[in-house]
Amino acid sequence: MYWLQILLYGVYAYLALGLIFGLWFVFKGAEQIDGNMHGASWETRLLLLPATIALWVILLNKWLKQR
Amino acid sequence: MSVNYTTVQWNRQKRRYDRIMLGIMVLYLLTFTFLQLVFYPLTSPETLIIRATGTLAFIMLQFILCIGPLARLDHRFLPLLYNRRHLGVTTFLIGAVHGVFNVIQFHSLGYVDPIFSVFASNTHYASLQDFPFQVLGFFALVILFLMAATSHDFWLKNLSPRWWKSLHMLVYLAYGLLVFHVMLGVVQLEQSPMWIGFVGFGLLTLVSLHLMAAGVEKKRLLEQMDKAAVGEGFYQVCSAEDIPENRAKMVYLEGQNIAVFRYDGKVSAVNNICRHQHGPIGEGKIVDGCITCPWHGYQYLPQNGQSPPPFTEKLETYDVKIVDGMVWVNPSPYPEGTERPAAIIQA
Amino acid sequence: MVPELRKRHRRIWQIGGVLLCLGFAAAIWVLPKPVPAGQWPGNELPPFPKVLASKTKGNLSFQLRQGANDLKQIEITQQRVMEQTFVQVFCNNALQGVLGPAGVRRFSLSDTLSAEPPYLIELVDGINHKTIHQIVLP
Repeated sequence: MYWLQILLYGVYAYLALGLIFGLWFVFKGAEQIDGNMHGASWETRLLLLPATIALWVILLNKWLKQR
Repeated sequence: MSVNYTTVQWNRQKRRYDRIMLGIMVLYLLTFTFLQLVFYPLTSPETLIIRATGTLAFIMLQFILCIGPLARLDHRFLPLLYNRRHLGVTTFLIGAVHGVFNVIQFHSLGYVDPIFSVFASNTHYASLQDFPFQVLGFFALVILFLMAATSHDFWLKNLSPRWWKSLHMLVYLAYGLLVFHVMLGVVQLEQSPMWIGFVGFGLLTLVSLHLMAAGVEKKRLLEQMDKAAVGEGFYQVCSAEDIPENRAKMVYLEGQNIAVFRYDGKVSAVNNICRHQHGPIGEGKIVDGCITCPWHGYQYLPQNGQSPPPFTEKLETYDVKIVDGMVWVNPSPYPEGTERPAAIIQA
Repeated sequence: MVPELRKRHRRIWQIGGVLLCLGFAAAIWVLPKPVPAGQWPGNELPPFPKVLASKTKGNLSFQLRQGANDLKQIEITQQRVMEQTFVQVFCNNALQGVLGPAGVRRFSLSDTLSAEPPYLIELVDGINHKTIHQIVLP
């Protein structure tokens, strides 16, 4: 079960990075990959945060390609 | 639609839908609490919450999975389909309450990480009878979380419809996991015929509804292909009378999925696939002169397939003609948003 | 829905439906032998008159009681609510029932079990499958 604990710490680290990326992304980065985000309310932005934390790698990839 | 994003797309019908949904949920929770207190007066509040939310989330998921095939078998169920998204997000929230309370009650008392404890406290992974059923519930909840969290249109667009749809089809896996979460969990612990009946009834209903709907659909498709008479690139679809006013007939011709709408004494044909989430436009109806998708209310004008301004979605259009009261459709599509003259129904 | 997606749904339900039904049947197949009626918390059995032995362990006290025809009964009293919500009671490896949140629970042993002393009483956390207490009566 030692490997399981290591795996879990990996998942926590991934999610922690996701939170940092997510806070930047929903308030700043999202506009750059999706024009419809202009003028979105902060409630809308926070609503996107949970999935951003979980799927941040996909969004980062998309954002890097867009630049 | 494709204007700037809002938090929740509410309208009058959706609010009504949500109120009815919440009303039924509250009624269920109250009834469940009452029955538990009558039959098991010693139940602790935590156990009561775990049981009430667990059963409610499972019932809601079963109901959601029934809506699709029900709406295809009988159009009277279409209103249920209209706001399935809110129903799904609510199901996740109820399931999350169940999950969080379980982790607190069973896994947060020791010194180990509670999530680690979910996986490691029972290691009979090779046994069916003693299987760590909480792990199954955990993964089902992760799937429901991903679905609820990506239910906003932002995700549909930015994950691409294909990936989004695949992600959301994981709901079937989540349902399967939950069936075993119950069957290897509470059923093994309590051996109550009530639980077995509860899961078995839902499972049978769901599988037969889906297979029935799939069968009906396939038959409809094959019949259309047999019946279609061809002439100058046009296929005879049905008589104009067969299409109810402000509704559509859906046909599948030469690989094209087409919805033929009748309105104001005219007939027009557009592509049957909604630009939003690939919903079946032909199952919707014309509201205030616009074709309205039954899934999330995206709208298009029947004669040119364009969403009314300021929206920008467009559908492909097709040529239609009426000869001796019969509707003929040419399945070669015009570019999205091309205006085509509607065929006039002679009185 | 586009026809390809419909087809995918149809496949999923054809294959998944069969698998789910098989799994459902398997889960019923492995069900443990049913617990004797009346062994659930809520409707307690009356105590057998004669106390043969009693032992205490932590918050729990155990009693072995004897009734007519040499039948035996195990009585478990919990002073405080246990940490584990679902505690199964085994006697000589046979499931007798579960403990309630607190208070007194009585389990009447079958004729065969009654005739096989000593009685190894085991309390098992049913959710994590861990033995919490083991005690031998008398």
